[in-house]
Amino acid sequence: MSRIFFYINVGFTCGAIAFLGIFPLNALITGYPWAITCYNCNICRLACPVGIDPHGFISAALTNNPDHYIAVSRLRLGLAQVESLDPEMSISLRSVKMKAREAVAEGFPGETEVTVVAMKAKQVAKYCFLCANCTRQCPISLPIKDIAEDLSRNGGFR
Amino acid sequence: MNRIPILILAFAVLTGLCYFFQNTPTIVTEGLYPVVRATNGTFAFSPDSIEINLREKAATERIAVFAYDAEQRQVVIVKPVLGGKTVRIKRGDLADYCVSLEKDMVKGFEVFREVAGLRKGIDFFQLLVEAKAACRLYGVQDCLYPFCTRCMDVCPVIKSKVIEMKIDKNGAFYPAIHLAGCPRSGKCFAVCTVGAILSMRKAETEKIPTRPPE
Repeated sequence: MSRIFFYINVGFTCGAIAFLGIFPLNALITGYPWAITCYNCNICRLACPVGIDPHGFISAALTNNPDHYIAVSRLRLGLAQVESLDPEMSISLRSVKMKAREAVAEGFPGETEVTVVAMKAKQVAKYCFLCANCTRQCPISLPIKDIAEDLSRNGGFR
Repeated sequence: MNRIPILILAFAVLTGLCYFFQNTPTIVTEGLYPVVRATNGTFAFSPDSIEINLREKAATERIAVFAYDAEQRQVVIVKPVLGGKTVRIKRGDLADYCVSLEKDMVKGFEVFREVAGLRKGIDFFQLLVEAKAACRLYGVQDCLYPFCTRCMDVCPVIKSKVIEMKIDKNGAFYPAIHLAGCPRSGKCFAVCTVGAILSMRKAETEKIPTRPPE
């Protein structure tokens, strides 16, 4: 093998290791080092009675980003409330997916009930009932509820 | 060179680091007796919507509305409370989850998920209309049992059955608290985010109606 390929190989391997190393480092910084052990089996997604995807909280902890968008399926809120929280939030109104600001621009009244499709982790945490059913259903018992509790109390990670 | 001790040491250091950096929430309590909120509402049926007027201001921004189906399952939808007292169910609102019961005991529970072409959601409006016509139970409740068991999880004397989940005559789940055995740890109402359990002081100061003690 040519020497140049050797250097490219080593360089990219080191780059990949450094990139993947960001996740455990972020997990340590946020205070949830166990988040790296989640293998995304999606059982928690089927456990939430209000349709929040709890794996999104783990992703937020892994990326140290409380503004990470989480998939939500059955969270119903008023349009005015949604727009004041985040105009860029994805919502479903009469089975049509759109941004909150687009719905307001179309002239829907503020009290119209909408279903949230994607919401920032720190905002979803405020609407999570913290029932811990995701934690109970998790095959490796990861305390996912703790991340939601932290985000709902402090609006971010430490 | 033997690498096994180095690997074990590295693993121990990593585990220690993880333990040190771990963030665990603490429960701050008042140390009072808990009481259970009594939530009731009146249902007004119209051809396109059902309006529920709560007798008292709701504990949170959302409340669980339930109706029993023909198989005696409690089917629930979690809806936003408008102006603190009104809940509106519209045609096409799909139910969130159901609880299967057998002689007032929970047999199982599942979250409804609509899967295109495979599984359709349950229209809660239709279910409520059918429940009324068939004289089946329907109403509102704060408690999200059996999905949420936080009060029982944190109760230090739960083995003495201080908190028991019961179904009232309207078909609603509520935590029955036996004050005789309660050590007043205050953990149950500190963790109850749906507002079903609250401290005696809060109930008295805010004049919240409560269920009679067990």
